[in-house]
Amino acid sequence: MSSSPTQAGIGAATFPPTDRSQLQIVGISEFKVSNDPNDVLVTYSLGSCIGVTVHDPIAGVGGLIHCMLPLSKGAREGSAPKPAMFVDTGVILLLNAVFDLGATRQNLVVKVAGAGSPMDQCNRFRIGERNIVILRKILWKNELMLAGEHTGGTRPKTVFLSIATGQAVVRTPEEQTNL
Amino acid sequence: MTNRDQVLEAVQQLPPIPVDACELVRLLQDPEVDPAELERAISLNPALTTHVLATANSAIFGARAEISTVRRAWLQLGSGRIQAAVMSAMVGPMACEPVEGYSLPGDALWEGALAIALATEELALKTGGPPPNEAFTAGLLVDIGKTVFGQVAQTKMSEIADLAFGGNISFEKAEEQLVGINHAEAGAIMLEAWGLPESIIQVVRWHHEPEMCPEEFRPIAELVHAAQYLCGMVGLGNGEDGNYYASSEAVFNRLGLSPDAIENCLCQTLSKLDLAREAFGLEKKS
Repeated sequence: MSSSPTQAGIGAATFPPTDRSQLQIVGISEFKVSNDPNDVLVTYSLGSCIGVTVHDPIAGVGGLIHCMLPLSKGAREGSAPKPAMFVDTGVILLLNAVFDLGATRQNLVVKVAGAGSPMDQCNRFRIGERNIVILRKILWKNELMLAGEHTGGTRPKTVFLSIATGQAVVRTPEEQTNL
Repeated sequence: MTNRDQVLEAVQQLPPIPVDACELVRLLQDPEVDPAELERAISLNPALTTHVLATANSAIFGARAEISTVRRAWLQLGSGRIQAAVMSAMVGPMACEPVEGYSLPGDALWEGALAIALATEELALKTGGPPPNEAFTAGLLVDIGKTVFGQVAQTKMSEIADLAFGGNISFEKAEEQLVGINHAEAGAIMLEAWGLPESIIQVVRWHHEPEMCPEEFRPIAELVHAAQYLCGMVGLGNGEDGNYYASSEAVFNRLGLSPDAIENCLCQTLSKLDLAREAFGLEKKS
């Protein structure tokens, strides 16, 4: 598992907010973007899925996506299109949506959490690892780098993003850390 | 001190489900059921009739014209779907409550159950195994035992979690070690007390250990086992137990699913989940 060693220190008492009504929930295979500084985006129960946060501190714009599978090709055959389900189509959608709100590539801070494995050693499908590989590919093509990462492990993760500050926090049953 | 007897006692204190619903499930399992008898049995319970018709007319089944009679619903959807509708009417209200102990908010257990049911059905289609409709129904009730187990063993849950996560033990084994019973057995005992058929009871009982399931029901138990593993892996239906369940190597080898098939199964499951919530949930029916 790789993660930022920084504990959520200053401000940890108030972020993430305890009042659930302040949270904009991003469901599995969904994404949300915002330029409202009051918004806190959150996505729950990341297993092998990944939660990608993007934030432009200058434009005050951010977004969060919860992708389940790496590639849209093949997997979606015979099903209704839900592009945010996949890393390859979803992350592009997320990027375009924050650019539409005024974010710029130069200022964009991208972070990721999730990509966990089931408890048993076999981890036969390696979906989490593949989600990260495809994310890196997409970011590389778009000249973006990961500024924070909390991936792997066997425990589910929750990710919060503050639109006001860009603070991204990942919470597992054992700990809470800044991304 | 939480123990097995307390869980069993809590199961015995559950309100019974309507006798006509149990009778219906039994009728629906009979491949030679007389449609007239079935219609009569359902119409004895007007609330159930409304629920079955609402399910039959929901978008997931794509009915071209409105289905207004139980007989038509049965002809169009088949026994498996009607059985799932009857079961959702029976257990849906209980499964939509927050589940204490497992920290599952309201609707989370039911949403997880629907995801497992859909994934079980997809796996049945992909492997050419048991009839997909039957597989769906079995998947629907798989974790119903968590409702009672979580409530009774609430104070023990953090200890169970520590044992599972700390010792790398499958969560249901940690439940067994500390309480003397796990949620799967508690669920099976609930369903037995309600008089549901053996085919459903056995699948629920052995969904974490499908090799222990009686041979005649094992193919469905294996599909449910695999479906739950996949749904849990992507975070569907997880609570305090956090998908900390072991999977059977033998089952996955036997099913022979490619990574593409697995991803397609998950994609189909999630794509249908909203429609399934509408069809088998209760919020749009009252």
